[in-house]
Amino acid sequence: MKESGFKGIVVNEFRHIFRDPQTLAILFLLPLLQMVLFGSALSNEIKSVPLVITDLDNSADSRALSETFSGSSFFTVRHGGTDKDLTGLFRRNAVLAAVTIPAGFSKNLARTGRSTVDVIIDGSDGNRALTVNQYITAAVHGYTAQRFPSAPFPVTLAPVYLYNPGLESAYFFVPGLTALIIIMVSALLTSLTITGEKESGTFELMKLSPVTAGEIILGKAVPYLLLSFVIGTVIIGCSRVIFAVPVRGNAVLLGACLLVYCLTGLSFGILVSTLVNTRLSAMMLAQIGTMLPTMFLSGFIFQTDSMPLPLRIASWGVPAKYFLTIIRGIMLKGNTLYELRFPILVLTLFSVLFLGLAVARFRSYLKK
Amino acid sequence: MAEQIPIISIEHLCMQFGSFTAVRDLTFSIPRGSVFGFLGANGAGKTTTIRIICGLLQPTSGDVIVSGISVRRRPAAVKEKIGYMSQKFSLYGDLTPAANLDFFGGIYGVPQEIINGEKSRLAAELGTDGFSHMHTSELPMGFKQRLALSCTLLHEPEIIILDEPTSGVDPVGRRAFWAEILALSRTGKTILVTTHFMDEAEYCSSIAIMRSGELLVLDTPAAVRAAYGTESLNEAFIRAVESKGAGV
Repeated sequence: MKESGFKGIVVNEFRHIFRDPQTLAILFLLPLLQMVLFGSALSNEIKSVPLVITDLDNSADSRALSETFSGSSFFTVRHGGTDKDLTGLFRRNAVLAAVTIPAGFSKNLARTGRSTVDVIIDGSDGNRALTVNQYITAAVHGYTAQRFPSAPFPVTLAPVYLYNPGLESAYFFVPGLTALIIIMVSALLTSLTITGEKESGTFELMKLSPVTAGEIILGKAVPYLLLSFVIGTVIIGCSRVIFAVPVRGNAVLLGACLLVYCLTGLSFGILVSTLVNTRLSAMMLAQIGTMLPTMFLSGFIFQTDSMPLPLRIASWGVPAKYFLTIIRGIMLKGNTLYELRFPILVLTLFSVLFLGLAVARFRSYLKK
Repeated sequence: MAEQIPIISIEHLCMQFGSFTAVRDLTFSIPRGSVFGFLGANGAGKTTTIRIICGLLQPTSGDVIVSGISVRRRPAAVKEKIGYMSQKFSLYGDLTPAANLDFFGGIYGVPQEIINGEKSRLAAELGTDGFSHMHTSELPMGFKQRLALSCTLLHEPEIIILDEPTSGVDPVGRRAFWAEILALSRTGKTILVTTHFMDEAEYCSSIAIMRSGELLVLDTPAAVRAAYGTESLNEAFIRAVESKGAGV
């Protein structure tokens, strides 16, 4: 009697599992996908550090050292000019590091057996800066170990971290966290409003009225744009006051970019609410759809540049990636509107795309 | 009811969902100023027909002309002619009655003076405090229903569609509600009502019974009773729906 009850439950449960082949396929494919995705995304390695070398010594030794960098697959080397060029290169993210071999490098090495190389590293991303420093140190030591096998470390590196001299971890994490929190909040707010109306039935009444899809979408967007903008401002204010992250660029520009980013987030939320019917599923979709890509593919924690091509392509579709460039650029580097025109344009396009898709989806509701 | 001008004309209406036919070549008209009862078992095609009349569904073929406007061609224009009320979809429970009136007036483009007039009329009934401070969800059922009807009528629709308006309402509340509906019909409004209560169907000037997407009967309640030879409309309804033939 008891055994047949147990058997009944087992059989019934297996029927439930095999009833829906789609779910079964997802159950098997999802862990596989997660393993491959996270395995390739969770890496701090950088494939090729864009590096500018300025050789002020122009000796056999300094040229040999330059060639060590040019010959290494870890660096993409360009040969530099003046200090002014350097500043521009760093601000445009064209290089991550600059190595300057000072005049007298070779002479000092011959006379005293010691010498110095000046290194400047972009410190706006602290983890990356440390990795770059390791690469450069390894390259220099590789060269000196060949050239002077007897002296262990004849060349001293003097690294300077640009934008974040003390490599404060807050400088690195706070802009990323800000980007993450703002998109999660703004997407969540709007995803709940329309699904909430679907649950209560008032959405049906709206469909029965002559309001158009565009009016509903924009009418829903405006209040939440203001709300998420205020939340975003408070968060950035916190990072300034509590974590002492500077705002070196124009605060008005930062505010305008924040507004665009909030719009992107809430447009995504509206799109989500047109796809699902309950607040619970809207919440899950909005949270997962913003959190996972932002954590793994925005450059918040992991370098997207060194990921395999499919993941790098996927990272182009993550709005936070562009806002991260903007917020790090304005807060740490003092970037201008002109320097940030590309990420701002992309965020605007994302908003237009999400809102357009949401309106199209709404129209199909209203007409069908 | 012979020589009246129809306000709603349903013309060879068909609605197909995949392989399922919800409405099959439906043709009939509803005269202006009538109280038209729309009956049928669950799944008979009533709700689909109403959604098409309201401009929410594009018919597979055929058309509905509402006050001279084709639903197929101008669904948005039809929506302005219709006021819809249902027990299922109601009001914003977390807003005050006043805010609900503002919202429904707003989406139909009703002038603020008319909305304010309706507000003071209802506030006089409930008491001002409750009206502007209480959440609608806290109001008694009867008042919620009055408010829902006010929201439905704000934009002065010619046609009022009531989709099972009284399910969950007690008999006293239902009688009061119907008194209001009949008063509205005397002002020239056309009422289209679906219901499962046959005592309510008796209030109608004519009733239509649907089965499997087709029209079975269309006549006055008295004529329907006579045709099936029954005392009550309830019995006539059951006989109609269970009969094998095409009807009367």
